[in-house]
Amino acid sequence: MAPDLRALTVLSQHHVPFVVIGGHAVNAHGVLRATEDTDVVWLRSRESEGNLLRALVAIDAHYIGNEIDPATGIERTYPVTEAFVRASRLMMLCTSVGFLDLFDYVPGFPHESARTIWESAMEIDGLPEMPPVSMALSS
Amino acid sequence: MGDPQRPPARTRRLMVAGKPPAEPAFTLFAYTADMSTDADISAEPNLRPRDRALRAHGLALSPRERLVEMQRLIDEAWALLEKNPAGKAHFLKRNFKARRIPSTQEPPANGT
Repeated sequence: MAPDLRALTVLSQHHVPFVVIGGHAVNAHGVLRATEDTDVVWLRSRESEGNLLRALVAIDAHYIGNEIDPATGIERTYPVTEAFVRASRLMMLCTSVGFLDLFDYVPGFPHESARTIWESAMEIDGLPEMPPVSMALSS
Repeated sequence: MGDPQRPPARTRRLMVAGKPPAEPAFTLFAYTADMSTDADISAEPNLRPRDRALRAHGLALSPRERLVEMQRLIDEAWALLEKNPAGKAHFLKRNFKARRIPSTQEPPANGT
């Protein structure tokens, strides 16, 4: 069995600089548990915004509005756009590969540079179809 | 106005042969200092060895093996959800509700 890291693979393929936090990182560091989504801190720049948008389009990423769709009984979703990526410091998305949360800051430390999390991250290689992935413990 | 001499309804129900019971039929239960309380009844002592064993198991694996183990847990959870359509619907509803943003406004600049 291989871990399902398709969301991370797509980010890597599109050269988005990121560190994994949340459940995946907690597991990688030794605390085994299930998780419902993939949490990522990414480094924002004009170039990475474009790369991220292309990655999100590739996995059919949508953000979730607050209007209920009568057909499904749950909230309507909307495809991510360039304006959305530029304006949102936190994107909580549903994608074709599961829920994906993207932070351009370290949760709990919104005023610190996202780069600080790279210092506490450990690199994991040997993952299928992707370069080494950095995983950090975060709040 | 009711008969002031008539016993209250609760007492009437407890009457035996038309007479109230000599002793109260029940007493209010009250905690005293020497009784155990919910705070004393904890699973914590039993959970610690389990947590230690799980932690040791996790640390004995490589990071990649831990992610494989995580995937096994996720797959098991999904299998349970697939067997329970109401549970799956609740899962999706809860996640969508937690992740929604006002769709009539610009996306939040500082997160939700």
